[in-house]
Amino acid sequence: MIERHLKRWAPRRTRREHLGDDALLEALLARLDPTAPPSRHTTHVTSCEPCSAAVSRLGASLDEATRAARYVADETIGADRLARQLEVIDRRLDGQPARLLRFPVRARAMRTQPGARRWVAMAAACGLLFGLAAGRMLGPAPAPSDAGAWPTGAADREASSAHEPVLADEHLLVEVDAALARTLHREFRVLDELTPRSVDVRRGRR
Amino acid sequence: MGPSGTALPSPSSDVDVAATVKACLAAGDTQGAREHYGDLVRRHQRKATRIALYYLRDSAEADEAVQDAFVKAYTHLQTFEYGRSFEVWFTRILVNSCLDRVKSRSRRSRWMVAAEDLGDANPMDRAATPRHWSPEARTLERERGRRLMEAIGRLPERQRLVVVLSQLEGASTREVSDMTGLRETTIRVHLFRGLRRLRTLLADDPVFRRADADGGHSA
Repeated sequence: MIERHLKRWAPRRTRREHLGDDALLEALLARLDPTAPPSRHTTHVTSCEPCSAAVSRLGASLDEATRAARYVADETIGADRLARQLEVIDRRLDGQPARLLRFPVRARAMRTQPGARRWVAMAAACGLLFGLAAGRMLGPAPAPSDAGAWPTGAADREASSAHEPVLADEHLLVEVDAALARTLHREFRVLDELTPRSVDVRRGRR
Repeated sequence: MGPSGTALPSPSSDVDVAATVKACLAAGDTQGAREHYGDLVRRHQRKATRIALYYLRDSAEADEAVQDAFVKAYTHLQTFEYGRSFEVWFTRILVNSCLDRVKSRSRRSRWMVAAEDLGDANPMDRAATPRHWSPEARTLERERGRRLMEAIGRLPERQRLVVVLSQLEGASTREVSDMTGLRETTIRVHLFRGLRRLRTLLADDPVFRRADADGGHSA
């Protein structure tokens, strides 16, 4: 029935006008994909020489653009880059970190007041941990990070459960997102009040 | 994973190499597994980097996504079934690795100040061209590639993914379906819309108009 409809529709179209841009693209994609159902424009394209030529030209320009993009990308990927990648993969499979970030030497030379600094750092860390723990207990359960995301397959589900080194800042941002998504902010304010501030510590020292 | 001192059999297909890696792992031969896996990495590394680069448009992030994907693939090679395409299986892991990075990037952009222009804003600008090309041809090819990449970067996420895998990397609709978990009809729709959008984005671009100027079609 569909074919009969297409046959009736196609000659009318041939008499009337050539195919527009969208129809040409549709015809081209149908031509390129052998598993695709036949396009409603196929009949027209086979019988109309200018449209057939236009589809071919469109295909050629698409190929040309693709070649250009691929060429530019390939030129960016040099042998040394691939070797570096392989080296990092190798190191990671050995269980070593991908890269080593050195702590700036200058910072070590800075004059420190060990007691106060340690106290402030410990208080901040405790406050953060306490806040996060309380947030987890008091607030509703955070939505899983994959909610509404791309559908994943078995292989990827397996892969995502791997014990990958998690970046601390990434984790913190996830926690911040989750905390803000909750409606219970009062508890955080109370905890915030309990936590000493660096300004107060500095005043106290003076 | 470096050059091996021992004589290794040279399996022909990816699936055979993957099976050899699995066998080595099962036998506790980590060294052998790593050597064979290195071969597998070398075979797919360039294409994987290209996909990540098309998708993420950032050199460093693309490298990290590729590395993540290869490490994950090695760790979970036991789940790879003999007879399936390693490339499709691996690309699925890579695609998800890229998507994770896109999500992470959007999270960072919400909370952190963007590091503007770190000297590698557009890695495509650094691309070299063959010496035998005329200066004009070189410039034109680079410019076309760069503009197309920019336009691809402006596509919605799924359209971008489908256009990259299907049009730029030449994967069949079935393969793209296996790589992304999308239905074939959905892929066709995304491809059509993506290409139509690209056409609109590049319609006023003189670099592409010049290529189309050779033949006209009155619609």
